[in-house]
Amino acid sequence: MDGIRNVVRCIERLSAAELRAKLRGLSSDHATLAFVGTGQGTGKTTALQAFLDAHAGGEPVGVTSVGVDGAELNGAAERSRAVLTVPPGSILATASGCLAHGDITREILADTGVHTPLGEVLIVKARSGGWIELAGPSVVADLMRVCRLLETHGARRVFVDGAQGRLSLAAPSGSGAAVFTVRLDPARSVENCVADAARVLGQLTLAAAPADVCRQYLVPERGERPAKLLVIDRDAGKSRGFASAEMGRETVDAIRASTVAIGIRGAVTNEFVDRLLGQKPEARESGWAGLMLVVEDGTRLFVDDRRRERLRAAGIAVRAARPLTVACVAMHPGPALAGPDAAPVVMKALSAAVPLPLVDVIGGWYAAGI
Amino acid sequence: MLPGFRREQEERIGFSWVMGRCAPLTPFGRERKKAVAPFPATELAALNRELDAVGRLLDWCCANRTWIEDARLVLERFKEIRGTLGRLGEEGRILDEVDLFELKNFAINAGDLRPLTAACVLSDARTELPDVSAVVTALNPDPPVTRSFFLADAYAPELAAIRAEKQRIERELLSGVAGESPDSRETRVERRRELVVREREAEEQVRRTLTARLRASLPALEACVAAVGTFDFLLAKVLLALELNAVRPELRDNTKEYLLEDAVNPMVAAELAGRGRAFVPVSIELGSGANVITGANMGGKSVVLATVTLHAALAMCGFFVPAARLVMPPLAYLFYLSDDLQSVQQGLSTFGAEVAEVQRLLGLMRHGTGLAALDEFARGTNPEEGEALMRALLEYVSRYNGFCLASTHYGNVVGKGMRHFQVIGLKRADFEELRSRLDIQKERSFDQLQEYMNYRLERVEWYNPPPRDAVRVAELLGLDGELLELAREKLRG
Repeated sequence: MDGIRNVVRCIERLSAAELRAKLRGLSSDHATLAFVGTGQGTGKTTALQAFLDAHAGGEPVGVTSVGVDGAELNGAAERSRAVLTVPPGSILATASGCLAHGDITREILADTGVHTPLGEVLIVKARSGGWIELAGPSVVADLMRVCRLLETHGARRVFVDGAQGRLSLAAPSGSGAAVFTVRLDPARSVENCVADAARVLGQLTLAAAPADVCRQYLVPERGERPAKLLVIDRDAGKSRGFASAEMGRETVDAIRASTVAIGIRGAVTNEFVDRLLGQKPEARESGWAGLMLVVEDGTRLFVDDRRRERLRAAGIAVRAARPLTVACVAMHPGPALAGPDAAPVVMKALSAAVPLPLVDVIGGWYAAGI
Repeated sequence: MLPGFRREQEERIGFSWVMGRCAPLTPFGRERKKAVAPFPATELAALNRELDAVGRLLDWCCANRTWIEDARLVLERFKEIRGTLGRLGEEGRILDEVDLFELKNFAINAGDLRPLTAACVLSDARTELPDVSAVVTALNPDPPVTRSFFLADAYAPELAAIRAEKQRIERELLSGVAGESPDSRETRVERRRELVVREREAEEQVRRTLTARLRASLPALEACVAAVGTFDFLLAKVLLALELNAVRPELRDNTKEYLLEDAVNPMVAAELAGRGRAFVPVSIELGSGANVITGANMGGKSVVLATVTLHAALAMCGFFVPAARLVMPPLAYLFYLSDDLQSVQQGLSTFGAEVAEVQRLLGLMRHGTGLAALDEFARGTNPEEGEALMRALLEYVSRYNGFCLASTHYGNVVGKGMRHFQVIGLKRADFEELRSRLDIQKERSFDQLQEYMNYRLERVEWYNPPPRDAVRVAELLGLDGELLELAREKLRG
């Protein structure tokens, strides 16, 4: 993303109709759009609402919200409910306990078999417009199932209101994309907030690993449980899988001159990076340099800046087997910068760090992606 | 759970394994399975009716394989409804939309299942589903029948009018009215709010009326739940019988024998199949009183005991059994004594735990004909007293009706009049040849020895001594030669 600093980007203010058309355009290529951000109050629901309004009167849209796990009750269930105003014809997935909260005329289409602390998630059709509370599944697999059911019951596109910090829900289906929401923290400078957003986005949009590496990573080994750690060789026949993702001596010894990547089917943590770089692959003259560390997607990376830098210094490139698509960044200046010029200031700072389309769904500001 | 059995005992005889393969598809069927228990011996007619029903459905399924898939597809759709039925039964309670949605789907599913259960002519009133189409009609006022639920306009003209006006205002709010002032818009928003409140009130009135109407169908719905549960569990028993190639046990009031032919213990068979080996079916004819099995170590005596107990348990619970034939009287109790460690963990020694269990058996025996399987009782104490206790127990149980099957290594416990069975084991094997063959691959000697072991039972005279193969078996298993020689010296001395 460093090269974009020299690109001048046009930041324009759109009319309401133009903004709606732009939002429709941003979502047109994606069957599912997940609205994610790194913290509470980043404007996920606000952005989703804007996208939903943009589709009003068009093809039916499916909507759900990421709920909470049973263990996370104690008020979290309350916070996890999203309140949205939906157009008539919307197909919704929400817990039965939320149905009574809203003013739409509703038809219960189906149950899902997905249970939450607020009751079973039901597929509901909005027979009139109005507001409703949404609390859907909290597990990615359940979310995928619910998204499929929303499509089965007529939704042409599904919007998912993500939970706080649940980046793993950024792409519940293969044909989906994420809308990343950014809101300035009043306690921090614009530069710092933008830098944080750029770092998370950089992680979310990890570059894809080469096709032959992805093939080896994604196809499970025949007749066995899939390995958690793969030492991927140029020659697939020489690749090796390990049941444990621990980077032990045996794993390092399996690295050969022809090894191209280490694949981790799970999370990569600081501890993993420390263990990895604390050893040396004896069979490679160049050490770690030139190897790739492949994760399923950017949401599986839980490493801090220092480890990221250590990986880079060692010559290890981090790549994704299933790269995520981020359709756009929806920003909200928040109370930090009040005033009519606040949004363009933030947009300008963001546009220098993020090459993706930027949109302020409240003020109507927009910058095309590079 | 089998009465008097601990979970480990159910696991050891293979009962838990078989129950694990029995898979009802509805919550009601699963509850039936969970509550499974032996029929009381006094209710032979009811047990035979259950077995007849399994038999009739089995015959039907064998001739109508596609019907099985159809029935399973419908059963899989049933969800737990009893909470809703409980609320429906509460006077003054108004069901909510989710309740009504669930009731509608239950009634539709019951309607789909009804012709399927009727087709197989079970002649079993317990599986006859009442007609609950009135529930579907009440919850689906606008044809065609769909699985969704909506408090439709057709329920109340007032509801239709409120919604029509609400929609009109919503359209105006969405598209905007030319030249409309903010105040005028706020008026519309307020008007919509009022309409929402009125809509909710009208919906509640519809739900109240619907609930009262549905309450009349509550007995039929409850009967449906019971019938679906019975039918589902019955079908699960049938599918289990098909999977295990099981037959109807013959339960006769007048028989004094327990006859088991070519019986398989499915759990042991599956475990052996995993190692590429086949289960040797068990055939045995027990007489009233004491029956004793002696035989070589590793000869499968414990498997015989487990298999005999398992088949009796399955038969008494109304299941078909994986055997060629089982004839037995109805049993008042089942008893199984093995060397599981549960009691030991509770603070008793192995022997202490056995004594407590045998005392329990003596109490059970006074209540009628039962089956007791004793796996090497008193092995944990000194051989002299152990043998005396074993012999005394066998003589004692012979005074009562019922079947006692005991395995032992003691040589002098089978009394005159008792049935004595021996595992053929290595009795007919050429030890010299066996030794030379097993030497070839010492590390596989355990598996190879099992291959040469004849697990079949033969009935022998009561006075036949048990085989004394322990030293030779230990030799074949590769025990140190010097130690073996010492053992032989002791035996000679």
